[in-house]
Amino acid sequence: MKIFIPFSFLLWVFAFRGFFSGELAFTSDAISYYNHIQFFIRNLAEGVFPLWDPLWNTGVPNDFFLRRFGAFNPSFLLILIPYKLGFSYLSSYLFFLAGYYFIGMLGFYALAKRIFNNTFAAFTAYLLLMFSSLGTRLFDSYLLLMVVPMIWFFYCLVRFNQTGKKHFFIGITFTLMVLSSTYIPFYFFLILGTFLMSFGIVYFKNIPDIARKYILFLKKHKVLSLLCAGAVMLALLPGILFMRESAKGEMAFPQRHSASIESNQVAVGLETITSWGMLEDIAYSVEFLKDITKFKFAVLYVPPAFCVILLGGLFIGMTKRLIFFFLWGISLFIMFSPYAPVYNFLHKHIFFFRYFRNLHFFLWIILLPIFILFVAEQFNVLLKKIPKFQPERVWVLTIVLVLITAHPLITYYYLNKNSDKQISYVYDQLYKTIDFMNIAQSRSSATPNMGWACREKESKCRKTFALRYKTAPSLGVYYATKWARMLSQQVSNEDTARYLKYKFYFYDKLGALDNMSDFKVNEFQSLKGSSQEFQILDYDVNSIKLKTNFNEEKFLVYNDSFHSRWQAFLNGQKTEIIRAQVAFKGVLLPAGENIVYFRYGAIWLYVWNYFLMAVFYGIFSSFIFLWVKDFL
Amino acid sequence: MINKFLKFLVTRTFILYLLAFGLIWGLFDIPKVRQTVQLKILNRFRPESFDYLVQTAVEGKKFDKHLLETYSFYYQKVTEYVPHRADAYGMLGFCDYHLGKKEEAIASYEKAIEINPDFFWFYYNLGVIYFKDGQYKEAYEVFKKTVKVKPQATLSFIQWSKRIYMPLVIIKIRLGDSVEEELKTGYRDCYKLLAMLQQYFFNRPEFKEVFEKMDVKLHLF
Repeated sequence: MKIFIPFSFLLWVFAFRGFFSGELAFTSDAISYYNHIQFFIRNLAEGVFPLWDPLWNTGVPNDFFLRRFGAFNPSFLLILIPYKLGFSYLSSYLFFLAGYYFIGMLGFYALAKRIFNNTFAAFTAYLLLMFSSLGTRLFDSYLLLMVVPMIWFFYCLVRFNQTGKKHFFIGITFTLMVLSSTYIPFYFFLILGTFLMSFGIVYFKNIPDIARKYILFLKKHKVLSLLCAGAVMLALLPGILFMRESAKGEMAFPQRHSASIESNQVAVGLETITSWGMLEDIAYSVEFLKDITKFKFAVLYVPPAFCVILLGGLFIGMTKRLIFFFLWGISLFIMFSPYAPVYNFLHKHIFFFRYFRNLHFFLWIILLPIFILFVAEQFNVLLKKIPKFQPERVWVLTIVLVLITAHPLITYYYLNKNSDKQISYVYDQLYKTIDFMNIAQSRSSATPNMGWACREKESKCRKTFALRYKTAPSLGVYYATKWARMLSQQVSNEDTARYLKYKFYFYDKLGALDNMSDFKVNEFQSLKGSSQEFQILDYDVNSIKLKTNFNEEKFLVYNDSFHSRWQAFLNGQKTEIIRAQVAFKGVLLPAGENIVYFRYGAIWLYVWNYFLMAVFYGIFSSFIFLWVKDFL
Repeated sequence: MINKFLKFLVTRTFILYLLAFGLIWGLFDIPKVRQTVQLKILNRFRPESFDYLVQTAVEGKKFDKHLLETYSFYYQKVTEYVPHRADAYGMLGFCDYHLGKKEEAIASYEKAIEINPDFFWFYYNLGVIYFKDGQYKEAYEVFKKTVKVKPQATLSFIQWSKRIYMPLVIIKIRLGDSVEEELKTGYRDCYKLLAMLQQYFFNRPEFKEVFEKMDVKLHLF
């Protein structure tokens, strides 16, 4: 088995060779996640905790993106290993995806082994899940970020029940923390809820024993239990704070929020939620399964060997485990199918049902693994009927491997064939050409690669200077500040793009505020090189320091989104930020030399994030340390 | 004995599958669900843009097989889910023909005519397929029927076809085409072809050479 597990993983990598070689492209949500994880990791490597993303719709709080992928998960640091060894970021990220998926599948194998107490059935379950289309979602979605910690959560839970060992308790805590620290931990909480309910119904006789074991453990390890409980509470806080922040209305999620009657911007309307669900996903998949030569992403697929085992086990006797998996699966399916009466009721009466929309995710992240475990249990029972059969022989394992993987290999050959070729990603280009990093690179060089512009507006002698920068590509208003959203509604894209060619404007008077006509001015005279009047001293994604020296009073407009969390300091003294040109930051500058410093958020915000990170890394390290110690 | 057998039966795993189907059957309004799901899937299959299809057809360029297959797949699904849509069969025929599936294209246009016998372009395109294939008798018979169709019926049908034809027509108009003009040209070409075919049948075999050199194209309907 020690050979078969890594070999099957290599086979899986081979099935997706087009993607792992970088020849084929990410698609759909995977692009956005690639971009934002890259943004986070690269900044972190530079010692900056990115709480502001200046590249998305003229700047947005980065909290939303950090919550989406669960930034405190220490696994992301794995990306840095190949990256620091000289691999491209894309290759490093692809290594991470493959490795993370494998860790998840190993967890599934270990879980199945503990459930069935049968290596062969566990190996079958592992192969079925690994070669199901769950793996395809690495390249078009972000489900992996939910699935892997969830598998490990259940593994630690099962192991803790079986052994009562400390490190499994810490493992439960850690995976719970990872799953809780996103803005939508509701998927997992509902899965856990239905798990407990189904377990309680099927194994109600065992409940007192289990409860007694837990109480004993908690009594024996009071400090550890309190620390773990505290860590889980802490992990919930970023999500709660984000929810509160989004309720203030400073952020806009038009696509997500359009059909919702809730005031919270993250809330989703019933119409949006029910536009695509599990049944749609299944019916959609069937169309492609009829002809695998057309196979593409988001098609639910399991190796055909799955069906053979399913049919073979139809007439075996029911076991408690089968009933448990059935109950768990069917309750999830009925609860989250909007066509059944349950979901509408839940959406109406339970608040958090209005905060997550992708009901079809349940199909991938939980129903698929449950169904595979169900069928593997059928297989397990069947195997017991043949007592003399020794399945762990090399030839038996080889046959199973071939039978399960042959069809997926053909199927994924067509997926490779039907997928789009690699293009450079938006953020890759952005980083190379326009963002602050680029200016940082040029800062050290003798000739900065940025231009200056001077503008004369009609006959008025209102002289303005602007730092030239290329316009960020339009990423659509999926997420923006309230003011940037307003700007997109009031001013045409062309005018906004023309205006945003310059990052800074200096006006003689305050009259520039909210003056739409400024967006239409396109007469610019470029001045090359640095100037005595304006210099950028330092910056990162969260802050920027400028030096100005004008003979007269000026009003500086910094074309980065206005948000109440931004602070400005003029010569070390806090000064007011005025919203200017609908969506941007403005500051009044007196005549003479000034040092202006803009920073997103107070210092405590950064301390808090680093502290949380330390808690996550601490819990993770102790989990691994104690586990290895126990193993040795 | 029967009790034992029944006990054996109800403790088998297939009962769980039956139970699952039963629950779904009982809780879901299956015909309604089926209809709703199919419509949503059709929307998902719908290509993001028809620009490529229209532009290539209008400019008379050769289609990229891979790109055309996306459209063909969509129209195929429309005919499966909404079998009474003659417009979808027409478009499927158009795509199939350019994908080199001549027999399928003929079958699609025949099906389209069966559903809606009052649409000029179904006959015209079918006639053109026969004509280009050298099946002049069949082409002649179809063209005879083509000119009998009332132009108003064709224009009304295009207007009715909000999901299939209208998105294409909007792009055509943007590219400077006119549905009415196209139709006029269609009738003119059709009469011309009919006249030439008649000559050919009245002992003018040299027309065959002319036919083979003629650049007659299917119209995007």
